[in-house]
Amino acid sequence: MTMNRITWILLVLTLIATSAASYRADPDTFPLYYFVFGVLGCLLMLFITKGVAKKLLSRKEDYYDRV
Amino acid sequence: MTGFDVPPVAFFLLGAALLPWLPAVGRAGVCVLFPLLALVHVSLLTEGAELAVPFLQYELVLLKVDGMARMFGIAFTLVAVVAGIYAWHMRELKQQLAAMLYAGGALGVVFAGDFFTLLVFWELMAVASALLVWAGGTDRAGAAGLRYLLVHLLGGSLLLAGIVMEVYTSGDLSVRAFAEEFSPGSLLILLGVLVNAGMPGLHAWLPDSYPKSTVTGSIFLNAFTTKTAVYVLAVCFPGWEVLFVCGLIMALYAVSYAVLANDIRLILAYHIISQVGYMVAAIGIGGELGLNSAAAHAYNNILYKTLMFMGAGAVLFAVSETRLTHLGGLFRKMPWVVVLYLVGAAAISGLPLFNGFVSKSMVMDAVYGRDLGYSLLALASVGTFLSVGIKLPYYTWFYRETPRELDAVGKPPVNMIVAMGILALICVAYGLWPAWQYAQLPYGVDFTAYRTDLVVKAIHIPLGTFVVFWFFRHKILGEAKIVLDTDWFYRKPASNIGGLILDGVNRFFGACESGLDRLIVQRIVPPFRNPIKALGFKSGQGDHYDPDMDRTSLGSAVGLTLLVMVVALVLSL
Repeated sequence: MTMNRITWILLVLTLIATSAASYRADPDTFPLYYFVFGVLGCLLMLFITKGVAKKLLSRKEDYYDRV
Repeated sequence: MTGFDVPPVAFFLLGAALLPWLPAVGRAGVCVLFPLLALVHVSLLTEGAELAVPFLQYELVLLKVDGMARMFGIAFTLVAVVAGIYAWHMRELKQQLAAMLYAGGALGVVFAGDFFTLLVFWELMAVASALLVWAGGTDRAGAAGLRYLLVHLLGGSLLLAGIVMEVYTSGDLSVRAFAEEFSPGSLLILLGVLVNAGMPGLHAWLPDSYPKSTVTGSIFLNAFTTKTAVYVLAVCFPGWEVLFVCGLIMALYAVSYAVLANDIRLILAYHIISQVGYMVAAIGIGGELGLNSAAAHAYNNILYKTLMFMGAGAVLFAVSETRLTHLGGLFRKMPWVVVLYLVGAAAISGLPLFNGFVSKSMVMDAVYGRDLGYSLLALASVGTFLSVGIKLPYYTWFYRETPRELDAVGKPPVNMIVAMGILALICVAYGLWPAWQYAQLPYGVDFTAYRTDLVVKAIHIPLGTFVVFWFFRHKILGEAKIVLDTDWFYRKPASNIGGLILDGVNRFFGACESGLDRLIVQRIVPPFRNPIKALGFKSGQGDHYDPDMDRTSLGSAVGLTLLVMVVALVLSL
């Protein structure tokens, strides 16, 4: 799977269109709130799981097979 | 009333009874036909229908139909039909029998009107599903199946103890909503059900066993056990605040493990728990919206989760490999599998136009107002899209050229694709026409899924997640490793505890044996080899009696006889 320029443009257009719809429906909320939430949430999740849990909890695949 | 108020489990028991007498093709037919009959039967059952049988001084209610039971019943029978199609090529009688009994047990639980009936089918499910884990055939599957069965027997015992206490104090055997107070009875029942729901701490049986079952076995496993637990929670513990907290923990804990997992069926297994977390949280909110959304999400989850497990099963079938680090580039070999899987992935991620969007939005609407809980569930949905929406499909079917050791790629049989197609169609249909789903729900619905804020949110969260994923896509895959979970607490010490118990006993008996050996063989036995020597006669020479060397003189024989006679005389005086 490759992400070419057209795909990225489509994604940005989707983002703009949905944000505009959000603004029209409710101008008081920040239209990109959940996009930012997704970005930060994903970073947080990767950081916590990969950074912390993986160092503490990750083992070789045959961990339980060895007695 | 249809005038035919038979418990739906009867169809499955009848089918299971027929199976051993049929040829292979007939068996595959029974595994589709009987669930199909059950599906028709369940959808014709009217609310309020009941079938009660007197038993001792109690009345067993084998069939009690209400909106909630009907909804779960339709989902279970529907998925049993499709799973039967998916397993059409599979001719192993043991698995077919176990699957029929397992699905039957789930329906028995859902339509049970009393706790005794419920418990019987609960245990039937435990045993039948353990058989499906064992069917995996590997040593690991064997050991995991045993652990699975032990955990479920523990859960069943907690449930039984709770039921006995509850019946003893209230005298009421019927399955009903408990008032929100922690009596020992209700607490034990809650714990027993939470074992099956996969509450972190009690959940490790699920990711331990499901990925080790067969291609078709895990299809059945993913649908029934956890969702019957959701049903029982919804019926017995609606609005219990503690469940809201449990649900949040489930959703986040399991999704974190899914982000780390390397095996595709393990990722999906953790996602079962995570998705059940949404339902449990909604049950904890309670009220008509809470219960409606839990039922809708369970129903949809059974559909799309089965679809995704089918996609993973097709990969396993084709290349006998499920680790992301060993997969890649398989898109061209199985394009339909990928497309149909992605429908399931879109649904679980709650993208608009798919059924998951409708029920997830309902759940979020029910949770709305609890700010922290709301954000945590939204964070869990980031993890959902990250792990099963992008990570799993990307590294399995794209990312790189097919690794050389997977060159001999088999083709998944047509029946698998057909089964996936049916489920994908249903997922899309419920997404496009949510009114179909609203009409099935146990309570009246005042909800519109396609609201601007809900749609925007459902698109923006995955978009944000995708951007981050794409940026880090070469770092996320990682190495082929496993991540420890709470089963460590009983798997790792098992050898030590086993050592403590078995070794101690072994050593005791070993010591006794060698002690006795020394005493008898080395001290007592040798003298008897040559009694003449042992008695101190001069003629006794060798270690072993030799008539020519050791025989004593005639005089000593006579002397001995006289001695005995004298003793006898003295004694008789």
